[in-house]
Amino acid sequence: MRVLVVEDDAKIASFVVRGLKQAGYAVDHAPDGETGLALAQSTDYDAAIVDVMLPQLDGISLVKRLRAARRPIPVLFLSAKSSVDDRVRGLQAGGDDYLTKPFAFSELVARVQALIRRATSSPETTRLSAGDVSLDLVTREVSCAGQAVELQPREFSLLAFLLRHVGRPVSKTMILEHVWDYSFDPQTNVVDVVMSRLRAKIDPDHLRIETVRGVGYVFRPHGHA
Amino acid sequence: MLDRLRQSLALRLAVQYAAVFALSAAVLFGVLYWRLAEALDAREQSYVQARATELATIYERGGAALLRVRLQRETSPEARSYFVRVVTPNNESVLQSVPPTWIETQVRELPLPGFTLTQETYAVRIPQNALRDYALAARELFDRNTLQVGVLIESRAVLLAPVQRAFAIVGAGALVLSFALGTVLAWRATRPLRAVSDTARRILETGDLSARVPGPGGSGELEVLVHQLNTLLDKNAVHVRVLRETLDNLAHDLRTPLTRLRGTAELAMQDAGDPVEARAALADCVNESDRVLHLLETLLDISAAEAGALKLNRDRLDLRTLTERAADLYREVAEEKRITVTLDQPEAVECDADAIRLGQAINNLVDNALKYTPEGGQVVLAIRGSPQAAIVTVTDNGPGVPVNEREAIFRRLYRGDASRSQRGLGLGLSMVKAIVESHGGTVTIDDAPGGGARFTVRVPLR
Repeated sequence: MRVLVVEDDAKIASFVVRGLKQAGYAVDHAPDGETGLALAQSTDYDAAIVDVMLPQLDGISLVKRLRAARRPIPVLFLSAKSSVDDRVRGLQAGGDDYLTKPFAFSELVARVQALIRRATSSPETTRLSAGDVSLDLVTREVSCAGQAVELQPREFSLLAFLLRHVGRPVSKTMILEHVWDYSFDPQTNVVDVVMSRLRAKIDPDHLRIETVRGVGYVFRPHGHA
Repeated sequence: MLDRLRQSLALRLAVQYAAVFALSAAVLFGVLYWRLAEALDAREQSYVQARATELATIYERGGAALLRVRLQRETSPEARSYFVRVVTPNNESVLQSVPPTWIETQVRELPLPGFTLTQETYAVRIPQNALRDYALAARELFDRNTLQVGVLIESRAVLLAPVQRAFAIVGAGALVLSFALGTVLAWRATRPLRAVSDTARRILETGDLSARVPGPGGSGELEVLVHQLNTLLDKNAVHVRVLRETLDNLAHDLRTPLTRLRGTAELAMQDAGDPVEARAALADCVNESDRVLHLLETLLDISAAEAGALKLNRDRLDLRTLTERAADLYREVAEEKRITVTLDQPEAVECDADAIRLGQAINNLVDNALKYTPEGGQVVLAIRGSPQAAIVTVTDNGPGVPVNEREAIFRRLYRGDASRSQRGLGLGLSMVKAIVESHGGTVTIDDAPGGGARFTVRVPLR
């Protein structure tokens, strides 16, 4: 798995590169848009992380040119601008995801993984499971430690989302995006509320779903077992 | 200086005014002069014609002989001043009586008829020299001879010279006067413009935002301009003040969480022994910095909305989509507190609004209601349409808001006594107010009929 990072800020670039390498990716770094475009056109990357504000060639134009050249590489935009407009502009230019600075590094990794998986998606199985928890997307049956569990629709969606990212932390923002379909943060504690209800039903002792402070939640691969 | 004077609006107006005055005076004089000349001609010609008719009557009675006798008998100088001649169709003179004052060349210069008259009498004015003109009448007689009567009169130029002189003197005087008066009037009329320019220069040079254009009120164009400019300056000053206050508040609001952040980090550095505690401290730092960021972004949003700079993507939308979404978002939160959220929306209510922003406002109101409603309570989300506005009310049966706090709860970072124990930044309601007002609407609070608080949002239909 090879990832391209186009970022002009040396400090941010260095920790993104280091972190991605730790997560097991091969990483190339381009400090400006022109270099980034040249790399992206000459190398097959599994994903690219592109800053919107770049010297020489800005990130939006870079991605537009990539798309015009029919390079289907999944792109995650990084931007200091958080307004909905900027986000929409980024996605319209051909970006696949958008992350606002500052960001939790684990969220960046999680989003990159999601992008790569989406791009190389094999047809999704109807069953998701981790440890002794399993969930059937068709029959909507959930079992935990051999016991059938009744979940409300949103608890079900939340668990499914966690099971799709087993072992990787997901942020509240990602949960809001995928479970509530809110592309902006409505600034509420609804995620905490549903999470605590889900935990009460399948994980009363917080052994399976761990709270990662400052980041979000992670479903442990072999939690209870 | 000369250049500035040339560009002076007042002077330009005065010059134009004087030019228009001169033109209209010239037209007036021209018409007058022409009419006067016509009238003079008509008078002279009527005299010679009358004389010609008299003499023709005598000729018809006694022929040339009688006419000659009569002419010789004329003694009055007035009657003798007429030149009389009778000519045959071949221009041979039959009779000629020349006034004693005439000299021979004048007779020679007098044209013979030489043509057949189509009218009974015929009168013309023929310029003779600079000072005199002939007034000449001709009349055809019964024997095909022609009777000519002429008289020397003062030339038109001489007659009208006084008029021309009068016009020159009066016109020039009036022109100078109109220019002077026009300059004064234009100078006075453009005084508000100079006041505007002076004020603008003062603001630019000294940065004094309290400077206003002086001048009386009124409904004239310039007074309206001055008034509008002053209103603009007022608004501008308010914006600048709001901006300053916002920055002050922002600095203040950021200080607390940043101090906490710094303290946590510093403590963790001091007892760096325990890696578990250090990690916990770092996580606290992350959380605290997220909080600062969130605070910063929300405050910036509110400030932008209050300053009218919030960009709205307005679309026609059914308010029901927003209330339903809010109820759905908070379903679990409400269930936790066993609060029933009821939607009261008998029909579609459409308005032009930014779906995300207005949705955020409604979410915040629901969030607020859920926070302050005790377990097992009721929250009613109602929408109504009216010809002027779309109305959303969020009613709860909590403790309500005391009258003396009703204005304050919309202030930034205000936390009432009842809300100290609640989580949150104290920005939810000020965000609601800012969003609704940037839509041109209002948000108000009063008591719900059954106790509790009722928030009413009105978004005007455009």
